[in-house]
Amino acid sequence: MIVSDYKIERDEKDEIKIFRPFEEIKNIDNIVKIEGPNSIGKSTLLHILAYGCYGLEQKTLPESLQDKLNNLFDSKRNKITYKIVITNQDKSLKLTLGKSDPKAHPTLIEEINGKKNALSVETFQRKYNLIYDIPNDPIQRLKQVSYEIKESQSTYGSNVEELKQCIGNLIADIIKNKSPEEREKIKQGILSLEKENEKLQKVNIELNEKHDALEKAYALAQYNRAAEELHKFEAIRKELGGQKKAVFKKTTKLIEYRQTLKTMVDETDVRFSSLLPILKVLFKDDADAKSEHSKLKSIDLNEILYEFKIDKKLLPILRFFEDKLFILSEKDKGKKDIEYDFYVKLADFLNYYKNSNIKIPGAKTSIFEILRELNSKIEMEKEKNIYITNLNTAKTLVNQLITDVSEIDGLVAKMSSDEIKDLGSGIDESAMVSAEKNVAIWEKEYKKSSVFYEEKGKPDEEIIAKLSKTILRKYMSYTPNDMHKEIETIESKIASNNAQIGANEIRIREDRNEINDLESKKTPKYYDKYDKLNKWHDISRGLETKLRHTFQGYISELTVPRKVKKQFTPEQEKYYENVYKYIGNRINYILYQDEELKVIKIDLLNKVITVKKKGKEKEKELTFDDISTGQSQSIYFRNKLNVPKSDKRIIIALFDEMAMMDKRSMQPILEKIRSLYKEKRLLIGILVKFNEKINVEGLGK
Amino acid sequence: MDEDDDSIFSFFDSIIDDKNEKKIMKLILENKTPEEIVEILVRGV
Repeated sequence: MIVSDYKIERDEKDEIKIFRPFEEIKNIDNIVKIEGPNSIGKSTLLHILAYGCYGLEQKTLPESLQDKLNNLFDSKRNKITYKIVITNQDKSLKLTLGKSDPKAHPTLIEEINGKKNALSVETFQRKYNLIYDIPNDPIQRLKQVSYEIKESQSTYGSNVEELKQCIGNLIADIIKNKSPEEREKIKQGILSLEKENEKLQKVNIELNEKHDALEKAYALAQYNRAAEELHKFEAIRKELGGQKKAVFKKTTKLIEYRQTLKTMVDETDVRFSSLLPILKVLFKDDADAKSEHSKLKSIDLNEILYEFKIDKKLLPILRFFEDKLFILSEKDKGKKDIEYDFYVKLADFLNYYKNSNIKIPGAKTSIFEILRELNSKIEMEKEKNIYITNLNTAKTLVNQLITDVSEIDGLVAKMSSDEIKDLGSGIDESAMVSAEKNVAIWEKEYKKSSVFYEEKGKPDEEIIAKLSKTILRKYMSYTPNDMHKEIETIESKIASNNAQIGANEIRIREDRNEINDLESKKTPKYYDKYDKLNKWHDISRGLETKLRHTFQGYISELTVPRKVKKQFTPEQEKYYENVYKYIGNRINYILYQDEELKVIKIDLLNKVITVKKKGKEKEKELTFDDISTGQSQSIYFRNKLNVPKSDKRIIIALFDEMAMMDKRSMQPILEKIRSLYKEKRLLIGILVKFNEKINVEGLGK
Repeated sequence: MDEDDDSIFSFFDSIIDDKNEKKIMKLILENKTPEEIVEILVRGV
């Protein structure tokens, strides 16, 4: 039952007109044919029904109907409210379409067994199939079938994709699960890694043993070597140090000698310098003496300080003058003036009393006068006395110089002794530096060894000796440096092995986790059908491509208007042939010149319908123009109602303007509507047709 | 399968050549779920 009511307030500028449905159409059957004159609201009812069922949201709605709906629901012109309640045969389903306010959105409530649910556009379109049409140029619009095919191909293409994904997921599960062979391979891998680690650990134990032994041997060798070298260089240092001290001692003595020598030479030189003028005066008339004097004068006593020897001429010349002076003194012996002595001594004595008035008895003159006389006498004798003084002085000086020469000679002899002579030649400064350096180096090495001993204890030489026959045999010929290099090599090997052991452990842990994970899971579905799944996956992928791409491309070509016939591939031609047959099959038969003809195919491109008379084998070709309008409409609507059973949506069929169809043309449509309604695939089916008289006829009976 | 379904099936059957693809298409047109289809395809049930 369809119970409807609506109110349209139309603004016609000069007045507002109100339209309401005729009483005859307020309560009608679900499947019904409405006939009547214009303006009784037949089409308006269909428009409101279509609008209420979200008809404007439907892509396949003919453009002319879209315009009509838009015009009717133009809020500037019409203010519309409506309520339509549709109930199915057994009253289990009720749809309520409503618009209580002209400005409000339409509502669509579905009520199934008393349970209400507001339907959105999407939900409605998923559950209901609104077929609202008018048969304008129906044959031409058969092309719309291509859209349906396109939609079907797309829908089934999606279904195939779902299937492909489903198979793909099953395959992925199996792949993730891994085959028993693969699991076994992982297990074997774990065992192999464990064995490798065991081996590496064993190798490391041996390497560690070797390392420890070698370290001890190295430490011992290094200690011994350090001790030996240290001892050696300390000895060198000691020796050089001793030499240094000795040199210092000797140097001190030499300096003392040199100072003494200088003093002596200086003193001698003073005497020498005093002697030379005296000798010159004394022997001014002696040619030999003069010659010797000249030689004597040429002697430089200071040379002794540099040469550390006395001029060989000096002593003979001094001896020469010693003799000469002796002769002179012998010759003038007694010549010394006693009077002069007397006068001098007397003058000294009287000088003490010169200012007194003492009168010397017997003398006629005063002391002063006597002194004056005496001094005059002394002056006269003085010259004579200088010569003698000079002679005596010269004798003294010569004697003194001879002694000096002898003493200097003795000192120089001492300075020239072996002890002093080696001065400065016995010490090697670079050797000393080298010794110091080496001592420092070996002290450091020695300390290093000592530190090792403090940490690890001094290696037992006996143990090292034992190890040298086994584990250390190879290394006994090594220098400590080579040993140290070998220790570093072993340390590097141990570190590398440890890194490998660590990496293996991580891998083992990961593989074990994977195995545990896999074994805790159930065996995936179709585990033993892996190959078959792959096969069907490939097939579904191929089919999906055809449905969603290849065939979609083909069907799209049908809707492109062309003036020139296009050349198609054989595959495409074959495809179109089948499309034409499919449409023909859907139409099934047509009435042509009062004869029912079986439709074989409808060629949409060439606008040819291939038909066959009943009982005849020969096919007949009709063009679209050969078909009457009523028949065309019949063909069109039948095609629209031929919804595949796989489409589970509930059909709402609204067909307008069917006036061109006669009873015979209408008959197949009515039958189809009844059949669909009986099968409960159709909720409502309304056919609207012009007639002078109002006639509302339920089709269910 | 009624006339309509037979018609759509015939259509897809005619445009698809491969027998395995036809098999899948038939099952889809029978409104089988992907899981049901896999079961039939793989186990032949």
